[in-house]
Amino acid sequence: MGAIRFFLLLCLFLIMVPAYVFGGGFTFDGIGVKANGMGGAFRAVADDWSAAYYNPAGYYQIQDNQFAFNTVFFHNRYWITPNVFWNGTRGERYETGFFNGQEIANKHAVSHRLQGGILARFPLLENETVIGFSIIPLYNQNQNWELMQLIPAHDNSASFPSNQFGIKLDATAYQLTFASGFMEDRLSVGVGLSLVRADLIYNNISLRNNPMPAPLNDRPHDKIPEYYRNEGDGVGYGFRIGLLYDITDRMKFAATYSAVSSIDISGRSQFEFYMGENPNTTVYITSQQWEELLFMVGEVIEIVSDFETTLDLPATFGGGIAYEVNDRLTLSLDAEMVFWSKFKGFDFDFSNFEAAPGLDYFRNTGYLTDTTYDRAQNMFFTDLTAPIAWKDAGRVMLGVNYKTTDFLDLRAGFAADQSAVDWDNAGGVTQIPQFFDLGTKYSYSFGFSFNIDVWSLEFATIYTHQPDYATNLKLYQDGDELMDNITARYSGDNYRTVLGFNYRF
Amino acid sequence: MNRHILVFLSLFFMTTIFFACSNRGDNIVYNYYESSPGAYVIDHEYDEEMGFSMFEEISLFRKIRCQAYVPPGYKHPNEGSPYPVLYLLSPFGETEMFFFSHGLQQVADQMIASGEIKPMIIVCVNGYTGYGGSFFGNSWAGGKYVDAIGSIQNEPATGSMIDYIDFAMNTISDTRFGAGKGRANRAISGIDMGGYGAMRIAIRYSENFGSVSAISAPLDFDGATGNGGFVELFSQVVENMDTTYDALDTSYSDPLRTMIFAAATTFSPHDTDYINPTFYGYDWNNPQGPQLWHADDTLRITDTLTYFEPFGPISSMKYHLPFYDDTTVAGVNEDYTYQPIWSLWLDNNIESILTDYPGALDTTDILLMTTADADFNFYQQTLDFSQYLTGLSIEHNLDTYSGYDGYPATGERFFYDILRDILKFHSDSFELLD
Repeated sequence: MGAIRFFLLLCLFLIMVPAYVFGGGFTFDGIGVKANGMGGAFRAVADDWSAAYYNPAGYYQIQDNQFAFNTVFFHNRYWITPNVFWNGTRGERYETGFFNGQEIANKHAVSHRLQGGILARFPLLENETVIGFSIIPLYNQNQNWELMQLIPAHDNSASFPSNQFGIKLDATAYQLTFASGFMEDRLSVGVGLSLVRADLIYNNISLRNNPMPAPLNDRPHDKIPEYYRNEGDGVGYGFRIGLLYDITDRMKFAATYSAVSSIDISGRSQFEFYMGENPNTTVYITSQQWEELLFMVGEVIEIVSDFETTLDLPATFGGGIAYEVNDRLTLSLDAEMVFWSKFKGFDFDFSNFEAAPGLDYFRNTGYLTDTTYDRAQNMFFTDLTAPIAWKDAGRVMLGVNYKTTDFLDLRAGFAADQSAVDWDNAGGVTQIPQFFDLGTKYSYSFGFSFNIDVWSLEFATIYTHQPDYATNLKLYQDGDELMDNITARYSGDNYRTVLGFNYRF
Repeated sequence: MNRHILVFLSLFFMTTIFFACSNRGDNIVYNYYESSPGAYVIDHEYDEEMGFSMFEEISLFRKIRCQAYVPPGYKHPNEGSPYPVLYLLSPFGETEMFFFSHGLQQVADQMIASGEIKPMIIVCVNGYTGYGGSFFGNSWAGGKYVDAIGSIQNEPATGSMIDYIDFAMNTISDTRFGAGKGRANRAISGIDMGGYGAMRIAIRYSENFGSVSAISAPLDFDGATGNGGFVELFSQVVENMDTTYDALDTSYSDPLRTMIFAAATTFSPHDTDYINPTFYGYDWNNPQGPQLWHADDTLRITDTLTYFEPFGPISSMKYHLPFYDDTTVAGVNEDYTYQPIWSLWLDNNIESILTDYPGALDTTDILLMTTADADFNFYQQTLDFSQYLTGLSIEHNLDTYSGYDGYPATGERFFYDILRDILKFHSDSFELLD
């Protein structure tokens, strides 16, 4: 292969990958067409560009230079039937504004991610070394929900944004991969070093306690809804290592480990407080408590700030075995442990608050005394958390590839993915719409590949079923005013389709 | 062969994507409903004898301010079907706006739209005075709310509230639809002080109201034993009398004391001259001038032991307290009650009113609600009154409610939620026209 040809293909690859490419637990499972067709059981197969993710050591056993480009379409069809009330001590259930009893879908979205890689064999050091560069979406969570509306305590013209509970979290690795062979090439070792960029949009609603005394905080003014939206990004680094060992001519064994550093994410936050509209102002105004007017007039108080948070992504450890039954049929079996206990959700620290005209107006016009302003500040300018208590989770994957002819490969796979939710620890369970994990998930995949000369055109489709789950967990798990669990019945399915081509040169 | 496979698999994959990723919407049903055209402000001036009070509102304008919620699609008399009427009496320290600030319009709109209740007119009545309220009593000093609200005199111009409402609004009244129709479609309710007023009016004018509800209200001043109710609270008031005895507590720093003083303005007022509200050129240097108007002397209290004049002798706000802070004085019991004045209060106790009008509640639908978190022993007073009704074999409904974790049901905090029960109860009680 000529250097010019390699360079041109590299340029073509970079052009095809738009700048916005960034990156479910929330491990992103849509990497590689062949791997997806085989249910993710690819660590000991590892014979295309996606080996950079599944097992970098596989690069060494790829005899051709390759350029590959994949795109993944995925669609989460989730349902939530809220059951969120304030529960009275005598069994009463008081209204919260949630659409209780309605089976609500997440906002429709067919998302896509671009991915791919290029690899080439170079004479390096004593051994021939394969070097590759790839773009790999590592983690993804993407869904938005509209689950509630303002209860009749507010200005009729005010309404929540429709994306009330939402998250768009992508972590994408830009990885350089090196692989070489040892023990007369029976053993391959590969290392991937990556820059990991994380992009986050996190929307949420908190029902804050009205800090004013009775009767100003009488129902339905007992809670002040706070909508907030945090959008930011950050960069970290990661690595993955793998080995691939030929046990026999037809059987291979693989082992892999990967880790990502903590990623500090910073960005801008937007807050909206939906103050109750309480026409019963006469008594309080005449009794000289003008400052409390802020909590009566139905204003939407808007505030912006900077935020910082830390994203702790889990390390993974996996292994696999592949067996070529004959020249046409390959079977593979993988297992992986994802150390989700490292992921703790988000702890948002806010700074540089800029009060929008609403709050300034009330202070500048003297409606807010210093005392009330301080009390309002405690509500308006407080750090927020979105805690997640997960445990380490494992999964097993089974795949098959059948070469019908030189022209066509058919593939199928199955995966069982253990839930990261700590089901045995009731006090530690958190269930919110942003992090959707309902139990052990089962995936069924199918794929094929057309092989035409040096080209392969590939397709894979995967269906993942999540079991239904109904939670009666306490809304407030950790004592603050932020809902740690959205009590509801949850159900969900995921659909994923991967398309791509592979060019050998 | 290869081409056929290619076509087949291509169609397969396109079909898969199409169905898997189709938009199924979000399935949300919003709680939209037709909204009421709003509240009508009732600006009715009462007859001087009926509307007299020396404590604000009525005294200044001879008016009891109220606002009427009308249901969606409301038409004026002779333009559409008539509606039943629910009178809601405000709690202590609040005006008629209390109901609107606690979601009356939205809750009523929702329940009417969903068919949970019959469309109805809801008249919200102001009971607020400078002291917070005069318990919707019937005294010359505190205001004759009972007569002004509950009687029917068929004099729309200067008569009662019912007279005016039935004249001005599209209601079901005896005058328009025949005897008995009005009562079957008229109800009265209230929370706290308003609950007391509602029960009192429903008893005194039982011929005019088919149903009554009282929520966490002072319905038994002395409790089942004679030592409960307010009596248990007097010691608390006495303890706080030392430093603020001679101040009008407009800041509500001691809600119990404020409420007891306010009750005294109507249950045990001091007979005094009062400033003619129609004469605005009052001469403070000549308080005995012709503008002074003496209201009534039939209840002249000559006892001075617990006489109280928070604004000094020149003010018309003078009354007698039902307790005294020295139990060594004759007439003062160990629980601090001062019997001569306390007996005047007990004359206003619902049990006494019901004794004066026996059988008044026999055909009235009754709902009592309360919470263990209620202030001022209103929980026990409600339970004791319920027990009293049971003793008289008067059928009634008794229900309780509670707060949620970290948010107790004190004051009137849960009226927004209770309102649904109130509206449902009275709606079920209404007997619409055939």
